Amino acid sequence: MTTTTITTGVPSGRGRAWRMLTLTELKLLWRSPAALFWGIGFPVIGLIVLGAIPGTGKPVKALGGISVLETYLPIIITFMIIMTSVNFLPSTLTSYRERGVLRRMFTTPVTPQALLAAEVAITFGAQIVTGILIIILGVGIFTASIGAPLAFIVSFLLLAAAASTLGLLVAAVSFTAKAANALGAVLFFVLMFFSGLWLPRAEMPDWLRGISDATLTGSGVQAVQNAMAGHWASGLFFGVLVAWTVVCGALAIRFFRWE
Amino acid sequence: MHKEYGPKVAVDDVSFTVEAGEIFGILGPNGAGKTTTVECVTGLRQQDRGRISVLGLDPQRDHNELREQVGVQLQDGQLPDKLRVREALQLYASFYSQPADADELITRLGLDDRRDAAFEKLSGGQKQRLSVALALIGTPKVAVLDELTTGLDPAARREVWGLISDIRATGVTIVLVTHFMEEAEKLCDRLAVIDHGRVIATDTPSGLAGRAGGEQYIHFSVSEPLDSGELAVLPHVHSVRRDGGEFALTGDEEALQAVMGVLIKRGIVARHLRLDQASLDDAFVALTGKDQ
Repeated sequence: MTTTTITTGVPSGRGRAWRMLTLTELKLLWRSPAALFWGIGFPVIGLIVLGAIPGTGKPVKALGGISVLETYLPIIITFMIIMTSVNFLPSTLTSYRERGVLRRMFTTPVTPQALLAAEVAITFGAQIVTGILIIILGVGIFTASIGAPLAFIVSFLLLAAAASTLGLLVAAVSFTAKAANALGAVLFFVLMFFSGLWLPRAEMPDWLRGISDATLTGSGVQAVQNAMAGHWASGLFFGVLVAWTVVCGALAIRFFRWE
Repeated sequence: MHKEYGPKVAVDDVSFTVEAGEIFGILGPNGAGKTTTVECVTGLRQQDRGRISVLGLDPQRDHNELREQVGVQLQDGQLPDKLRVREALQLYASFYSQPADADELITRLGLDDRRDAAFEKLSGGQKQRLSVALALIGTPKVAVLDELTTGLDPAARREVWGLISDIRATGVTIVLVTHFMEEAEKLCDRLAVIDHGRVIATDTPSGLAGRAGGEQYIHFSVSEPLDSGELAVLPHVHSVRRDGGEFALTGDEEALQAVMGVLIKRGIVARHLRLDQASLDDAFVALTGKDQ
């Protein structure tokens, strides 16, 4: 194997570099118990607790005829996505920048962009794996149902994309890992509030739900919830998610500094 | 070459040539422009004016090829805390088209018993050795090492010095950036002294020391009374400082003979006699007007 990689030179070397970067970042994620717990363990445990409470599977009129479980399942998914994209991703990237990991990479044939891509891929992969776990639990074991699977998948991916680019923007504008953590924490609470974690969107007054609609978590939760109820959400919600992705992505590229 | 950051001129006029296979030192006080120079040479920054050629390559235009052939150890470049020694080397090996064997390099740099240790658990010296290993993993022709031993204790520093000599023996050209006189004196074949963004001298360490004027430093103490004026008037003696029974003289190569002549004539025994040649340290102070 080594002889072929040496003689075939750069192209296969690049692929190998990306694989090694992703594998290494995966090992590092595996070694950070806090990230594993808050990003994956906590949402899954939360769902198990919620599902185990009697009556959470029954439809509630005040929630628009869906059950408590079905109200909170999209919020739990959003929690997991925001935690990994807006908190862990920028925290890792800014600490790499602060500690010269990216600078060192600049001196090798691999560009730091490769590390960024590996980092985003790992985050995305973790979100999909956790998402599948949540669905297996919510649908397979508890009583939630997903009426429109394709709409669900599209909503999930658009929400994850919007959150990732927001996370990259946080990393871009934060000079230190400390600043990124502080900004990430504030954003986390704001975004989770608008997702309906403390006050479900169905119970929000109209003006508040209007603001929530414009946030990526509000739209994301609505899109996922509608998909579970069996239909595509209004194009407006998808538009909001795409807009967040485009705007955050453009700003992140504009402001990102490697050192 | 020339480089400015806004109104601040970091590198005003720096020019030097490094020969293949040598250890070339870039010596200068903090803030002299050493790191900026190295960053331009390795293509991390672009110079405002001037021309840089490394192995016939332009660091900006040919940066992909340059990165294959030049290994760089940057000041304060760290790694993720939980990354292990062997993993770091294997990861960086995957970046290059002709990498060295990670395990062999680990053995060569004396990290055998630390190969599964996380970066955060390494001592300062071990981190620096790993850093050198990462600079060498791509089998470079040139290795640029910036402030390699800053912050290390004397034992670890010596360990790293030994390592650098070993690396040169394998045919790698080394550019060593430092502000330690002793390091430059021990390791470098030639060095450029940089101050305020300018090269103020390029020479061998002993050649630079010679520029301090070939002065000799004579120290001794006496138990009998001796008037410093009596020594100061001697030919070949340039200055005399006296502190109680302690004498410190400077002079040319014949000064010692003249001083001993006086002492013997007076029947005075000189104790703790020490004779020093001008060192790189003295040359540096003479050249930059700074005390390191």
